[in-house]
Amino acid sequence: MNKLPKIQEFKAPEGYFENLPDQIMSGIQPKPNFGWTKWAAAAVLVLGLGFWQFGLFEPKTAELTFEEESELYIESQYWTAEEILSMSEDPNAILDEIIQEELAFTENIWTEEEQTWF
Amino acid sequence: MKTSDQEILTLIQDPLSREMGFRQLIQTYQKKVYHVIRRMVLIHEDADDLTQNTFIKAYHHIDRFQGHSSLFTWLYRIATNEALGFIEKKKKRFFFSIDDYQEKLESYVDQAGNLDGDQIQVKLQKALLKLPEKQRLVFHLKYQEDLTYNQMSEITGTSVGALKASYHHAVKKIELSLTSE
Repeated sequence: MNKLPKIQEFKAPEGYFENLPDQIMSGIQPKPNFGWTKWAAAAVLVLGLGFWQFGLFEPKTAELTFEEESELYIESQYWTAEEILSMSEDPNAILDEIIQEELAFTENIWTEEEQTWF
Repeated sequence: MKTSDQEILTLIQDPLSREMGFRQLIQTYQKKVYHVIRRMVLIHEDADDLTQNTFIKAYHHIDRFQGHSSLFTWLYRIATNEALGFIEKKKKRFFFSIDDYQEKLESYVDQAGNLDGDQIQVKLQKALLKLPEKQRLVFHLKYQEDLTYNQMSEITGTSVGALKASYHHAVKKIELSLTSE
């Protein structure tokens, strides 16, 4: 064991630990509760119902929405997984979502058998 | 449990001093938590995210802490879980991506400035990167942190025997890797 040298630590940027508690605490603080948002939501609902009542909304057209059109391309295998990801603004977020859904092991990585330690 | 842990927990249990207590917990353990994560993920930005996540999770689950172990082993368990989960996720993502996470870490080790240009350290870090992640973690906890196998067992939820064997294998592999190059 004496053959191995001491491992040098990677240094944190200067001042990092002075600011870290504040950063963490700001991530923990509950978001301010805007009481006015529920009144705004109620107003939008009333206006929406009013427009609907007086027939101010345009009737739906038979055209497909972008989402429906995309699904059609995916289902018909016209677009591949790589193409869809390349079209996305944030492919990493999509991948994270897929991984979260499909890989339950990330919740408790220690439940795996001990053999994996070797 | 250390007295300072008791003091921190007492502050956290009182709603009026909860935030102050948690701030004290961060100040006490931030360096240890950061470095245990940084040794695994190497890149500061990743270590920063994971350190913050560790403390945020600790904040939300501190009421479940029973005091059977020290705060430090409890925090280390969360931190190592975060780091291993992060690495696993990066490796799975490689399936869709051009950049290999392993290569990314190796090139980080090569970058001038990260290890003060010390060639022995560069070789050592590269040898460590060749180990499976959990074995690398066991090596760091024992060799760098000098933790007891019982503490390591609390952190990893793995038997002392398995940890001893894992550490032995890690040391052999590193020695072999250093002598063969």
